[in-house]
Amino acid sequence: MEILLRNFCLFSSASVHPRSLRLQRFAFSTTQCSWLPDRMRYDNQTFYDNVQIGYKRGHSNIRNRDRDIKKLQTRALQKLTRVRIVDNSPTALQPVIRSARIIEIYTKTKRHVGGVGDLCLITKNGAMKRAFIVGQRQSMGILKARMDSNNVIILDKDGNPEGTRITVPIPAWLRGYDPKKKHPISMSKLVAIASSFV
Amino acid sequence: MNMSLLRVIRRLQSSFVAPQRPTLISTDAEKPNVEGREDANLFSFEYIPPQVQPEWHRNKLKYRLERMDCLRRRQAIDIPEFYPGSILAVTVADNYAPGKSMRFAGRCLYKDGFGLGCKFVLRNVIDNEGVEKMYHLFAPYIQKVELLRLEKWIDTDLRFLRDAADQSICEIDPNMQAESPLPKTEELPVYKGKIRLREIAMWEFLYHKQWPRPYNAYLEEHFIEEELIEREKIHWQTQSHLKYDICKHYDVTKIKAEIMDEMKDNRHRVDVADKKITADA
Repeated sequence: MEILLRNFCLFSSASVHPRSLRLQRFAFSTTQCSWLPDRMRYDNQTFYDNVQIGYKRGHSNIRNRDRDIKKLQTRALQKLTRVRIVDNSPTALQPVIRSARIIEIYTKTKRHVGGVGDLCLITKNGAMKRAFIVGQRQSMGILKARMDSNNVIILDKDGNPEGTRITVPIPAWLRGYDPKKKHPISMSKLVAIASSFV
Repeated sequence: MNMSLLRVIRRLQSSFVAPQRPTLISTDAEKPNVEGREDANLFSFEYIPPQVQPEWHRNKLKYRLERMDCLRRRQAIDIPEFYPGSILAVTVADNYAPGKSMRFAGRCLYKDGFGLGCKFVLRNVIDNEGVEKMYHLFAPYIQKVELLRLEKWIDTDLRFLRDAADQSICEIDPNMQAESPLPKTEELPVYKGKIRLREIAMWEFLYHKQWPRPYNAYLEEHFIEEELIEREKIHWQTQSHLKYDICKHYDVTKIKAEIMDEMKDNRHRVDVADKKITADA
């Protein structure tokens, strides 16, 4: 049996290009929740007219719509996610040795996952700073803007922003957002600094 | 002799009556809409129900009621026809905004869903930051939907524009002037250009491995020839049969004809139902 298997392996490896071994080792990752509207499944209709091809979600009731929006996994930032600092504070302007990462997220969820509107702790060049999440790569649902990078603003211990200007657009729903956290956050100053809302 | 002849000729000339100008009846007003672009009150992409099998799980009454609700919303607001790839601007009611409304312009990446759950996503690049926003087409808080440019791409799912090398495709000036779209009696030319993508790493979303492959993206730029050959081989072994898989085909021609017939009666049904509601209340 063993000899047969070995011969089989030899045959198969001879025809395979060495570079493709690297390709084969990666398992194809799709999101676990296949009923999310912004799922990884590619949904293209290119072959015939009036024929839709591919997997389409089956039972779409009127009830499902609200349930799907609530169940959308909106928070996606966890420990050790790389983060982009978006204001002109001194920590942002320093040159970077290793990219800024999240250490702690101050939420009550079991898995300690954060999204836009949550506080977190950041390191940059060994220094720890408190930060407020202001943009996210994960989709937050209807009417909430999704940015192309995870954006963050640095705050003081009193909750005042360290920088004086934010270059990047900020989600508009933060204007009416009341963060009920233990640590103080001054939303009015954040909103005053921002240059544009989306 | 010559004078009398001249008089006769003049008399004959004065009795000359010009013939009547013929009236041309033009048939331009009676030209029908092209097959892909019907009137929204008769047919639209979001009126097609999802593919539900087996047949007895389909509740056609439910679909009909949802289409009637779509008709009601379309009577209140003018929703233009658009396809993924066209540029739109949407104004939405917002409590905390100056002027109580927010305007966002962007390129439509995809349009998905049935009936009132039809959602579409607009993408714009503002201050070097890509921003995407999702809207419900038939939401009551939408005040205006403006078509800035009508384009139709072969792909209906343009999420690969996030990884485009040249991000100026989605950079849209919010003060852009609306370009008048082609009338519905003419066929829309489909955009067949290929867009270059940036070099995508191994752990990111790999468009060249997906089926169906996107047409409007040029994927072979960052590959060497041996990788392409290997990819061809794997595709032949694993994915080439998928387009012949009848279970994945959702043929929509008959459903479309049924929906067009139904929507002609739906106007009347909506009026009757609304009258009943106002009479009872």
